[in-house]
Amino acid sequence: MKKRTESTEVDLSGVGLTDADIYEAMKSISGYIDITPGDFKELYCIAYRHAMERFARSVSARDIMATKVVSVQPENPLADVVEVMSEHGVSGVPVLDSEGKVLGVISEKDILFQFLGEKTGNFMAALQRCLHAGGCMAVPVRKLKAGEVMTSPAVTVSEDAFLGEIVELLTQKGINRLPVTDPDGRLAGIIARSDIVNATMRGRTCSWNT
Amino acid sequence: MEYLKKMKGSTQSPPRVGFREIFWSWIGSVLGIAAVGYLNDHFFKGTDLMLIIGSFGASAVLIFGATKSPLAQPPNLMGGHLISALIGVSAYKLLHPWMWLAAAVGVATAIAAMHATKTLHPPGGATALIAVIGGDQVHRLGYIYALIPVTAGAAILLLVALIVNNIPKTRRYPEFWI
Repeated sequence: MKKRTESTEVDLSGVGLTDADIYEAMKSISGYIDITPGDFKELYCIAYRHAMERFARSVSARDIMATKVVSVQPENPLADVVEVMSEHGVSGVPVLDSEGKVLGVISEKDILFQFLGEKTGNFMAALQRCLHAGGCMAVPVRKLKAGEVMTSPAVTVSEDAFLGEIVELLTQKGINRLPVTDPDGRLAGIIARSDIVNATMRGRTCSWNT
Repeated sequence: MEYLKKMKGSTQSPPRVGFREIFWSWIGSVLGIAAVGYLNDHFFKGTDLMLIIGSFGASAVLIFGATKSPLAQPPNLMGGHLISALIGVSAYKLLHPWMWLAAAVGVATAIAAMHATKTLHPPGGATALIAVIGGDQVHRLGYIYALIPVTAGAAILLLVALIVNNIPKTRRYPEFWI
């Protein structure tokens, strides 16, 4: 009985398999199927969990990261950073030292906060305060350098990190991109949320022998 | 309370099969049992042997009515009947002074042995039981019972199932051989 309860706890919210779906599927197969919808669901949930665990361990950062990464250096003026980002159409760049080690990350959000003269918190709330005050740009933004704007230290992963770990990090830290570093701490690539979507949607069809 | 809750059931019954499926289940069963029955009537009447026993009716349900079921696959059909026949005959030989005990031990041991050998086939339980309560004709056969009628009859059923179940496009048999 204990085992049964465990398996029904598997999160199927993203799949949303209902008893009616199973019943319809059973109807679409001609021939008597010697199993109840309940048994099928139990099997499906356990099999799905196995598949997800295997998947989370079969894909590593190396497999999904982008290796052509636009980066900046801490002494670059903010204007240059903005230019690089707009030119390449990216919403964030890693900041590297002269050896290629990751010092931090600059995102669109980091830059916008600079314009509002605040560093953290809720962006919309900051914008609201700013508008009520009748003008922002209290800080001489033009003089800022990348090293002063970046979020540091950067959250990074190694090339061997598994997909499961990466997803957890992105979710926990509430970030959108994760620099990937080699054993010496140098930038090897970057993983954006969209890379994970691409990786997880690859080959997601079901097939069986008929 | 958990114990009583389990008696309420937890899911719905599977859907009813289509008309074609019912039709082919009927055709297969009529041919399978006819084959065994015909051979029995024409070649075994008047001899000490027989070819048909009650448990073949149950096998027909599975191999013609539930062709996809693991219980209906060749190793289960052949192995389940053979193993159960041997156990049923042994149970009678060892325990016949107490027929009720011989019957119970025969059936239960047959189920356990079929499980252990991955050949669970419900009609095997009947095959074991018939070895005990099947009367003098069955008892006189001794271990021959496992060969004729049991293995020979099951083999004929298997042959008919292979021929008939693969005729309609929507059916196939078996799912596996080992």
